Amino acid sequence: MNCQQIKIFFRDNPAGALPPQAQSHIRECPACRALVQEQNHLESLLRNQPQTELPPYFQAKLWARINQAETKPQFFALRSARFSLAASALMIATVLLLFLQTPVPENIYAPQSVIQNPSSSLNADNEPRLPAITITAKDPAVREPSQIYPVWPGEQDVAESRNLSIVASFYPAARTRDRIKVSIDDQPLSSAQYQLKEDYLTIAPKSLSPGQHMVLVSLIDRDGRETNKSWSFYLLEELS
Amino acid sequence: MTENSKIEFDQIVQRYDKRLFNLLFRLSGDYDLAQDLAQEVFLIAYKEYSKFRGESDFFTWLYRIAVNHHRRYLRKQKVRSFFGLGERMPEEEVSDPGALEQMENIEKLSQDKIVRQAVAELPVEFKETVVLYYFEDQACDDIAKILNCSPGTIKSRLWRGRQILAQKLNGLNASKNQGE
Repeated sequence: MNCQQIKIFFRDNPAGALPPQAQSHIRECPACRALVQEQNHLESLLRNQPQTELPPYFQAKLWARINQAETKPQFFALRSARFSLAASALMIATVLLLFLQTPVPENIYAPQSVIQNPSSSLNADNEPRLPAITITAKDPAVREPSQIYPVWPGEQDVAESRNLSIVASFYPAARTRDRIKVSIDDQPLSSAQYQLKEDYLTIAPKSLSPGQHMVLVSLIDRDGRETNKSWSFYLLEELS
Repeated sequence: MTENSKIEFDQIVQRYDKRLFNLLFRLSGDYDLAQDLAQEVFLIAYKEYSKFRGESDFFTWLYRIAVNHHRRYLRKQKVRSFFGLGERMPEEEVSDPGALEQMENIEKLSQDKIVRQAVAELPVEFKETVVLYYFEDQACDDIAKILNCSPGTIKSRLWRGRQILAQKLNGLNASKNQGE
């Protein structure tokens, strides 16, 4: 065998032992001897590589991913490129169509179910008429009374007087013909001082002095059930 | 997938998870990435499991998915780097403290680290062949099936890979000795 044949042998037999006829050439050829040593060394290095341990919780993470993937709609699991393309085009067209057909309100920032002040400010009992909520969405007929949750400032929160807005939310949302009463420090507020939507109330008090204040919100639903919530907050003096 | 198939697949995971993770760790050279890729490969295998007809050895099938998935990852990385979206670099440090401890045990064998690094730096077609042949003990014919090419091509790639490795490992050993 010659040098070229030995190289070819190594190429074709990655782990093969050299045939006996190669031995005499290797003894005489330093280059081929070096090649054999190099190949043997490499073989032992590569074969003795340790296995790396699995990362912790590998299987738990895997099953979490599998379960997550299974709960996704099959629609998204379809992998056909053509189908995906067609589906994307259809979705874009649908969104576009919906966008074009949706009427744009004249003033999108205007409250849509704000209290409508009645023409007369007094009711039949000569009491101040409470504003009613007008809701366009379908009202549920029977359900539990709405609860009132202070959003800002919350119970014992500290607020600054500059542009103070008091916000509270309702859950479940208020319904048509539900009525509301708001007072701060036992002083009833006029309907001009707050705005009411289906699921939240914004109060803009005219002027409040620095110090502790108490808010009382009463929601009287159309079935006559009354829910009250009062909370106090602290108003800081406005910094000049 | 039925409950029975899930139990069957769970047994497959338990049997092959370490081997598959090691394969992807050697291909990617990145511990965390190997974990992600291995999980994705099992996820693909889970979805495609009903299509596996037993015509080939299961692990050959799983290997093929793993190799293709790794190639797909490399292609994505190429596109990302082309658009300047950054490339995930192999991480020397691993995020998990338990894994770090395991890694440290391994790193004590510095020779193993040198070999692993040299293999990770091989061009991908040589790397796949070397990893499957030496680390996964696959025969050239089986590697040919996994990589969808002829056994002759595999032998040729293996030879080229060995030549590159011989150069790299000599160089690395020499620089290490110089450093000492």
